Amino acid sequence: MTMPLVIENLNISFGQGAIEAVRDVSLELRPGEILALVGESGSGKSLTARSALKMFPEGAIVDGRINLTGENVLAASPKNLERIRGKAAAMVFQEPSTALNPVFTIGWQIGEGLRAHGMGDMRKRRARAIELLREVGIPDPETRVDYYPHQLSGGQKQRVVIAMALALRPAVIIADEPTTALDVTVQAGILNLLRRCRDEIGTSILIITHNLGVVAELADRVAVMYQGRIVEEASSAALFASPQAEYTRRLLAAVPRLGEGTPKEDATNREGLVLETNQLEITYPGRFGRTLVHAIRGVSFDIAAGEVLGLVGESGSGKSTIGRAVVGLSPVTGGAMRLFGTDLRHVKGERLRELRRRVGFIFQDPASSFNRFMTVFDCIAEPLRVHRALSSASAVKSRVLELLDQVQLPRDMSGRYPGELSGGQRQRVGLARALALNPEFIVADEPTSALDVSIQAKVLDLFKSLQKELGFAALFISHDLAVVEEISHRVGVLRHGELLELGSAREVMSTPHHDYTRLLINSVPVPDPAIQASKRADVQSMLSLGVPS
Amino acid sequence: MTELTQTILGRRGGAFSRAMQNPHLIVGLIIVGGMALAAVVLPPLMGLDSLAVDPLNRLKPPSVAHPFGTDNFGRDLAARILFGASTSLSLAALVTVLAASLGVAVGILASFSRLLDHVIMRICDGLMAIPALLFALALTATFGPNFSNLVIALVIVFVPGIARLVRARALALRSETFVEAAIAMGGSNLHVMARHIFPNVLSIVAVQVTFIFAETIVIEAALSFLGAGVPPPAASWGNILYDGKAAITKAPYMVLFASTAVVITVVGLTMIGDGLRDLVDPRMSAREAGGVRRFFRLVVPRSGKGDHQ
Repeated sequence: MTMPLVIENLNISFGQGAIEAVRDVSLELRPGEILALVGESGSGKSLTARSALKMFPEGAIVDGRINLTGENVLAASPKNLERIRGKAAAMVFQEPSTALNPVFTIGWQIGEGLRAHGMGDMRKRRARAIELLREVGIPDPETRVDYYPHQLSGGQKQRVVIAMALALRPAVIIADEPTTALDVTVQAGILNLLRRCRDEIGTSILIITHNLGVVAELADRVAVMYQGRIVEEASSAALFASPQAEYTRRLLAAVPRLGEGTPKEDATNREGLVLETNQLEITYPGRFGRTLVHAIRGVSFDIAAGEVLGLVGESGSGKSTIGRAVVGLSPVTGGAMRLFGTDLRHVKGERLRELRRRVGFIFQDPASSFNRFMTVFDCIAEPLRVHRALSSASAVKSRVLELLDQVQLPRDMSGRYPGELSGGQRQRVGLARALALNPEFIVADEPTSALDVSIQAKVLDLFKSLQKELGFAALFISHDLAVVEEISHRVGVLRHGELLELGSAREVMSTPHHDYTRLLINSVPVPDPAIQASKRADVQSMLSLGVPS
Repeated sequence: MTELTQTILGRRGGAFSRAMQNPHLIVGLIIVGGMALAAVVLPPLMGLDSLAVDPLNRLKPPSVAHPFGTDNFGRDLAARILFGASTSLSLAALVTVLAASLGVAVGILASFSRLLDHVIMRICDGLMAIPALLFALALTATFGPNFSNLVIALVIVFVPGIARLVRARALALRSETFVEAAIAMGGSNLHVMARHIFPNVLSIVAVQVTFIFAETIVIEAALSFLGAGVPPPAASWGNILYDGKAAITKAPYMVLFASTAVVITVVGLTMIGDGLRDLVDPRMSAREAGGVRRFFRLVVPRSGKGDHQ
């Protein structure tokens, strides 16, 4: 039997060989196998996988041999290539909302591939599309086949993309970070679907991911890429049990694991409350007769001085809205939110500015949270200048340099522009900016979700040590349970704008009271194939029962 | 501190060298700069007088004494075109600077207040509904044709366009994270406008401004031609065209030379505008560290020093 996909000595470089993105990579995808390609951003994993369909960015110089179901892809004529794409191998993309065309129904889009490969009859195509939608677990496919992409949720859209990939029963599916844009509970469903594609249809799957939990959940074999090379290739069980390469070991060590967060002493007393909310309501006004949007309903919690409260929730749960409300970026419309004892509902102008001075905010995307016309120095100095906190320019300068030391960035970086820094460096600058005024309270809104795991680990370590050293209280918002557990003293779980559970990090993780919390915890893929296998049945039964509210 | 200044200079150098690789920008700058230089330097150097009448030598074709010939009053055409250049260019520069600063201020203010936004934008709509040339003509006809009235009229014509452009960009910028970050750290509106919105709208304004510069030259010529521009006997390209119209059969070179001057300058300015647009194109700028830029970094071999991680 021929191998579905064989890559031999693949080299991809750019700019007359100036940048070698992929170096001498050889891979083999066996029939009915799920092979994971793991690596951080820039490691060349996407380039390698896409080369199987001869999809290269412009200017790429490619060398090597790629055999897809016995055909040489790199030498294929354009006509052959059209046939190979979709028929021999299909692609599932990271962002389902951009992979679907918003102006056509999903049925039409599934049919498009069928027509391109010779299915002329429109009714047949429609019937096939319905069948495929049922296969990928879209409820009521007869109706949904006429839906437009915007009528579906993110997870459903990804299912449609997978249906499109399955349309021609390809021998190979290449999935490029198929669950990165999705919530954990949705991710669990998609991963299960991919496994079923393999089990029931016999498709071989090449999955690209940076998430080692996903690898443990799904993959039979793993190839780890680092700086364009494959540094380790092993069966999933062997890799997690005894990683050989130095890089793999570092990668595994960097993954925050649930239930392994060090117990944090609850030294904080409940006397000096920094933030206090009571039946907090936040609604966004509907426009032109549309109903109001209730982002937050009746949420009560408090944060004591020096305490870190983690807020966990999936997208749309309202966790960011709460964080933004603390600094007055979202309006408080009901209940009470008291920051340092002042009710944020009735505060304006100078007093609001005074409150903001005592709070630092760290944003999710370090790339867009800096003005590209300001140097790192100016970015960090901005809060000092806004509040005229320091009298002289030299005092500002020494404070900025001190902050750079605190976040472990070299001092000479102060003259650079944020656009010239890497993601991790930029988030350190964000941390320095938030700390500039010695705030008593910090709101961190998904500060590490845009970073690679190993960089995330470093930034989290830095945050933890600074918190211990400076003793500020913090509201730490994240979708990642493991990150929240590692950082926070107490954890709150949000869903649809309601606080389902609030307790010490240990308590919530080990003995969750609410079913949703349990589902959330179980959905997080753990980088250990053995645990993952035992958890699988549990999660699936919970998902199929539907989440109790 | 030395390191600091060096890295900043390095970056500036990067922008400069990118500008140097942009043929549109360079050719445009040479044309317009050459025109301006000639208008300033040549007349005193060659002892030219644009108003010296010589009735005996009317409508003479180009000769050694008068390289562009003479006009219907016997004035030296070369001198008049050079003086016309200084009139046209200084008028256009003044109009552009005033219109740009007013437009930027109005646009940014509008983006910060809903009420102000409605009022200002409706006024802009009204002003933009009237054709520019007609509006300027009406204003100068009412208040009398002289240099300052012309400036005022043209500024009023161009401000709404810039204000709209700036407002649209500023509104988009207001929802950017770095602006929210500035608000969250307690920055006042003025601070946000001056430090964050203003530098970020400058790039699009810079492009728009060169086109306004070119348009001002054309409209000035048209107004002068219609007698509503710079009043004679002062030289402007429009005045020369107007004089040349009457003598077009006897001395076609008058119209030819004057219109060539207009065309060359406008082409030069348009090239600057195109060049600037390439320079400020978001794909080339430092902010896009995402896919596009990474891609560009991969494809384009790095040359500048200030561009490394």
